[in-house]
Amino acid sequence: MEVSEFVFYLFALLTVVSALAVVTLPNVVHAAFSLMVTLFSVAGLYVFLQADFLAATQVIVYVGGILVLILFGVLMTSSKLVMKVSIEVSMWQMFGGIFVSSALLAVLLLLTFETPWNVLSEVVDSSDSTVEQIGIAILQKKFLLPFEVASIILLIALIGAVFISRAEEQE
Amino acid sequence: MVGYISNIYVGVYTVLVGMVITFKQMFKPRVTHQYPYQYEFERKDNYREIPIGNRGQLHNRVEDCIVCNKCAQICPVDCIYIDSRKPSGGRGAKLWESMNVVHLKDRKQIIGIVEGDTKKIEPDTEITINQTVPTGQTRKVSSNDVDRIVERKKVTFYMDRFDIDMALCMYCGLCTEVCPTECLTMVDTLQGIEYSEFDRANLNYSFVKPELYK
Amino acid sequence: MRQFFGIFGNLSEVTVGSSKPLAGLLLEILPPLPAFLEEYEQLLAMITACGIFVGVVPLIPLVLVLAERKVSAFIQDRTGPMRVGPWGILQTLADGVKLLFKEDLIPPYGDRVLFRLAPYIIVCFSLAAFVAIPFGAIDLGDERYVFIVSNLNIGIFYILAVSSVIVIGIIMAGWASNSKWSLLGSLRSAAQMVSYEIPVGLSILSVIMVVQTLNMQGIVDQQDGGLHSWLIFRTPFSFIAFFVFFISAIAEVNRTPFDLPEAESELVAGFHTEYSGMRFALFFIAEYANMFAVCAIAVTLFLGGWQGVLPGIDILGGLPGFVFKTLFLVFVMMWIRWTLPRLRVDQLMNLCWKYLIPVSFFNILGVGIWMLIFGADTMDMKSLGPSLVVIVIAVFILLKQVFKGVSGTKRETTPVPSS
Repeated sequence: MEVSEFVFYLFALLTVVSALAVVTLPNVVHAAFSLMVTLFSVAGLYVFLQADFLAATQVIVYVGGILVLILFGVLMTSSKLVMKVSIEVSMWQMFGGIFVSSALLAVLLLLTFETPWNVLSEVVDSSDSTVEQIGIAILQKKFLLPFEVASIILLIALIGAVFISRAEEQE
Repeated sequence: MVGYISNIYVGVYTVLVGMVITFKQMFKPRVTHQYPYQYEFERKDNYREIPIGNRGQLHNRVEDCIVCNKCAQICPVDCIYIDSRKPSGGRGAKLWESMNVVHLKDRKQIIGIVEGDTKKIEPDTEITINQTVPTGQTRKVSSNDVDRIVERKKVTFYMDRFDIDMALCMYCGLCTEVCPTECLTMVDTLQGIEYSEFDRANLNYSFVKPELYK
Repeated sequence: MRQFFGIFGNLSEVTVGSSKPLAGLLLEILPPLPAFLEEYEQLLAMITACGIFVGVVPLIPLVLVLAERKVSAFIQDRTGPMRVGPWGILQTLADGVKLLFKEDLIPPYGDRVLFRLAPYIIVCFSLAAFVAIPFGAIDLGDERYVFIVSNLNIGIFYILAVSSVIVIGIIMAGWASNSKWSLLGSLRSAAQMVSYEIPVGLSILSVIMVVQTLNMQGIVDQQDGGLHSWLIFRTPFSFIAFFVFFISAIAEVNRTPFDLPEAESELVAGFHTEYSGMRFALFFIAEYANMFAVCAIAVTLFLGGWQGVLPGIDILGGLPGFVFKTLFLVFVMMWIRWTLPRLRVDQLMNLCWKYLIPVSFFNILGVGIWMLIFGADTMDMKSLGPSLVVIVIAVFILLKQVFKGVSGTKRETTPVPSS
């Protein structure tokens, strides 16, 4: 086995195992920290796809931002951190769950095999910056509208957060 | 808006003023004393003298000591050990007759018999002191320097042992108060404070001078 | 293999301009490997280059802790450590040895695994920032080798990403200690670091707009040619951006006046209250390594990196010049620490959200407008001239006010004579 294959499977294994740990661990804080491992190994997989900017964005947004938010929420709201994860469900719920998840799996598999993945025959010269291509694609080509819509949604969320915190202050 | 910008400006410039002041402070002379290596601080202005009467290390001037044992008796922690022995001459024999101890103002004591009236001394007169112990010399001292004259009782014991265990001592000062000849004192200089040792046994001070009784 | 590691600056190959990273230099100067390892020689050179940094970076606190204590002592008219070695220069070494042999305590009701894991996470990601910083360059033959482990295309963005993970380690340490002080300290620290990442990122962005690359060596290459080509002087707004970056950087490494997470009077020691022995030393290493890294980034982005002061003449250039500039910024950090008192929590957030972030947005706008008016080539005299004039006038006005202020306070600062 090549070293790179070994590294790839390591990251893949880490992703799956830590994602399982997130779901099954009884302690919420432990689950949040294993989410960090998941997000990190996803970033590692991005690096394998030659998407260095995306990998760094994954780390800075999900690990540095959203995970910290989750941890804040967990640590500051709940006094009981350890809770039992009960998977006891009725028959109907189980059938429904199996149906929904297998449908989702089918859609994902279909997407995975139908998408025309750009397979690189040669190693891309890494001096070609992906940043430049992303910037041109977003700001000059087809993704300008989604980009602007996303930024407006974030702005609205920001204003909403400010409004909520202000309203509390006035009482 | 103007208030906002002027707020930033005032913030920046006051921080810079503070930083200039601390930078100047870096080049001022240090005030730290490197104490055990450096004694010059005794002359510095901000040094406070050790006050007179400070209870420091105990010191015994054995030339004055009459082995009365009072200090060992009053000591609350029993840190003074005295062994004494009578002279071989039998009952009534004594090592020397009673004499006077002249205390000088610079806190040096001189043992000896003052010639003339001991009660009152005219100022600016020279007093001749016969220092019988140990050498029997005579010495002249100006009466201006004399603090007081204390009578020293006749000595009827050899002193074999006079040990003070400073590790035990609690610095109450009772022994110095009862001492009739004021030979047991507490050193109120820097030397009375710094006498730390690595071995506790070294804190057992022995004051006996056998050569006195030859 | 190359597909994975190629993204990290193509190993020892030429990446930007004509310069090669440290691994290339190692391949050049070290003796050839035995035959069965030749396949991996580039990987091994890369790992060795990393190893050099892993070995050297923990020595930084050794110097900086002593410097911190000496600077604080000098500002307060003291002498600092004087006993161990001449002028106490071996004091930190003695402290380090002491910490190594101390008992490693773990709080009985804490989370043992996370408690042990947290210092390693913090140290790992502090060290990871050093990967993309160019420390200097050496010309060997007709090749130029740069002292950088990996010349990443996304250099500065990678550093931002990696340093944002330290927050997780801090929260982990605080929570696993099962102590009020630790938890409060870590939550404060996390809030502070997440908030102050925004002005850091935005002020870096205003520099990136000028240089138009994220590659650290590329940024340094553009500052070739003397003092005036340093990015801090390119536009008046990057001059402001430098100070915004520096203030936010102080906050991000949790130093006074922003050391609320470690406020001794309130929180004992913040998130590392319960730590002892070598784990505590790891926090110390991370703290000072972070401080050094942040200053090194400031030097690379604004103060010319390892480029010299004068064009053509190698003054303050190369590795010594870079280290000198970085240590000067570290000194300024210490100087600020011993000048200003600690802020309150609301003042801290006020400064970040109401002052630094609007100012850095204003910077981005300003840099854009400046480049529109005076042309995108900021090295051109047409753009550089007005910029220098504006900066010099602003600095002159400020310094005049400062010296007036200093002479005004002179009477109050004279020491009261002791009675």
